[in-house]
Amino acid sequence: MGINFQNVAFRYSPLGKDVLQDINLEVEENDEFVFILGHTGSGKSTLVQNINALLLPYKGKLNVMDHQVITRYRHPIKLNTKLNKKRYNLNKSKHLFAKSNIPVYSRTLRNIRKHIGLVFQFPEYQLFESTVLKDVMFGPKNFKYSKEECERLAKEALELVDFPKELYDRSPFLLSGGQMRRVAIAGILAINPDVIILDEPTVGLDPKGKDTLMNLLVDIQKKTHKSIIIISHDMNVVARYAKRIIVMKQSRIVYDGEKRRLFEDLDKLHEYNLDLPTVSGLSMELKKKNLINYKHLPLTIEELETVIKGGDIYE
Amino acid sequence: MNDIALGQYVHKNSIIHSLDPRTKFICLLILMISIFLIPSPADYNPKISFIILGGFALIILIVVILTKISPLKYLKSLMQVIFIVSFVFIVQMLSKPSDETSLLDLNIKVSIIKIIIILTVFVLFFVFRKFLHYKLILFITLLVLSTYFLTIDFGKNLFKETPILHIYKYGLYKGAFFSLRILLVIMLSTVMTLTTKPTDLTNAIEWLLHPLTFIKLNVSIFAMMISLALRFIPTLFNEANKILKSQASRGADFKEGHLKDQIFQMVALLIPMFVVSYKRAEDLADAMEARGYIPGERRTKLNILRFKFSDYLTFILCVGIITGIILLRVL
Repeated sequence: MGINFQNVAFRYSPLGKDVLQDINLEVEENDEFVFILGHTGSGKSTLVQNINALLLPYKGKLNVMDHQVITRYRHPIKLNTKLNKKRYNLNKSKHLFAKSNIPVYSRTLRNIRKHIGLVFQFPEYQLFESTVLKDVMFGPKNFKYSKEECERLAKEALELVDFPKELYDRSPFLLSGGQMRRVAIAGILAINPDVIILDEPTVGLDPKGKDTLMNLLVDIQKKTHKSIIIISHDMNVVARYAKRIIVMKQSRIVYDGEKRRLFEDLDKLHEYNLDLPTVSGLSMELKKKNLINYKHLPLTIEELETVIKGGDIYE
Repeated sequence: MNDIALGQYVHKNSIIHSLDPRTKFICLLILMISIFLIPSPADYNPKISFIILGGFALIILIVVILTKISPLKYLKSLMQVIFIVSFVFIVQMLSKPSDETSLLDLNIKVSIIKIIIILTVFVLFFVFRKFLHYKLILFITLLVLSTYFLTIDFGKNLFKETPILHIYKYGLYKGAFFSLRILLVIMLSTVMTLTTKPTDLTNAIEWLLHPLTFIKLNVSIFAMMISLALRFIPTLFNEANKILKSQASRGADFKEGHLKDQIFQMVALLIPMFVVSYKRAEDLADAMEARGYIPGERRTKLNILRFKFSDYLTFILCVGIITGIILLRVL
């Protein structure tokens, strides 16, 4: 179960450059809180869209929740015909079939999208319905839930994102930016996906909005135990909330592991084009001037506080 | 994503690229008119009209080589009109000039029943295409068989049959002439779009429309509108792609389902598109105003268009060509 990449490669056009190369990655279904970091154009968004089968890899094996996403063939072949099923040995029940057009919106790929909820950058632009509740119900409706169930799922999702009940019948275009984003995220949560992926969810929010949103996501994970994958550029957010970090550079995964090991290795960090969290930078300056001393680099304000008080972070 | 129709401009360092866009525009018009002024082989000496056409083809070939752009790009734009060209060729070939013996008799007899039979065969082919091997070979054999079927004479019992079709020498000439003419014109306009930036083109159009200011039409606003619209097509295309993807990840399906479902899914795309484009337009208006844009006021230009020596030279060449053609027609 979960998401499993084996030597996956992806490119947008048959003769183009590889946007993903040699991707080997395993994400569990439950209790993971993964951050994907990387420079602009390193392939983060492409990776995430591959998981959701919006883009199909052309090489390697990609398993999403026990569904194998088939690789894209060079020629536009209709793979759901009987003959081609036979020719490409695709008769096993759990394969997914798709035409080779990119992006793919085929019905057969919907099964994957039901398991993976992908929230795009600036998700507030996807709102279109007349009321908040109806908009959140759009997702479950597409996955053929009954009307009562749609409403139940939508209300649950809106409660999860802590959206005030009296605004359910308001038009989504009259909400504030932060509220619109919450509605959009609720729109994905309402599908009841097994893994939630968010592409830069905190961009364009004020510091307080950022914190509430991140706390909300942590809360959601505590309640539902679903894995959450987040793409982010904000090192302060990463340092505070990450459990596991994946760093991408030039279409490859160059780091996959725990956060402290990444931030303490300054050379690597520089090589990956990443910044230190503000607090860590400050504490390094303080250490240089012999004002504080620590064994492990503090990443958050709380950790710096314990260090200043003379304690150790792991105590 | 970058190969939308308007992004056809290919950057190269060539003589044709460095020509003034106004020159290119006017010369394009002049050359097009002169190509259409070439006397057709039906009412003139066919040899001469083909020689002139060949001359034009040579000129265009030289221009194409001068642009330094790979010929594949030109072929691509020619492929788009191949259907029309072949249609013109066939129709012209079968047309009957005044009085002449036919070059080749095609024993084709068309009747309603034959057409119905052939049509049903082809419809069946397209319906069951999914389940067939060797589609192309099958298609070609079907075409050959149906032409053979057309030639069979069933006598006069099967409805009325039209008389035999002929191919004439002059029809052949005319077909070749007209289809070549279309190809040349397409080539010319492709040279124009491949070597001129859209913004330069709008500048040229603005300059050419300048006389309209005398009847109180504001040309600069018009040109600004065109260039803004051109600039926003790729942006909105990207935006649409993004919304399409985010709705697809919510399970929307834009290809399958009943018509009613599909219309509903389109709403999920259209409304966000409207919202985004209005927002963009508002932001753009603010940004333009913040930089002092007042509609209708006189503005200076960053790139002032100036005719150079090469521009005058091309003008003279083009005018020479068109006068030559006109003289040929008059004399």
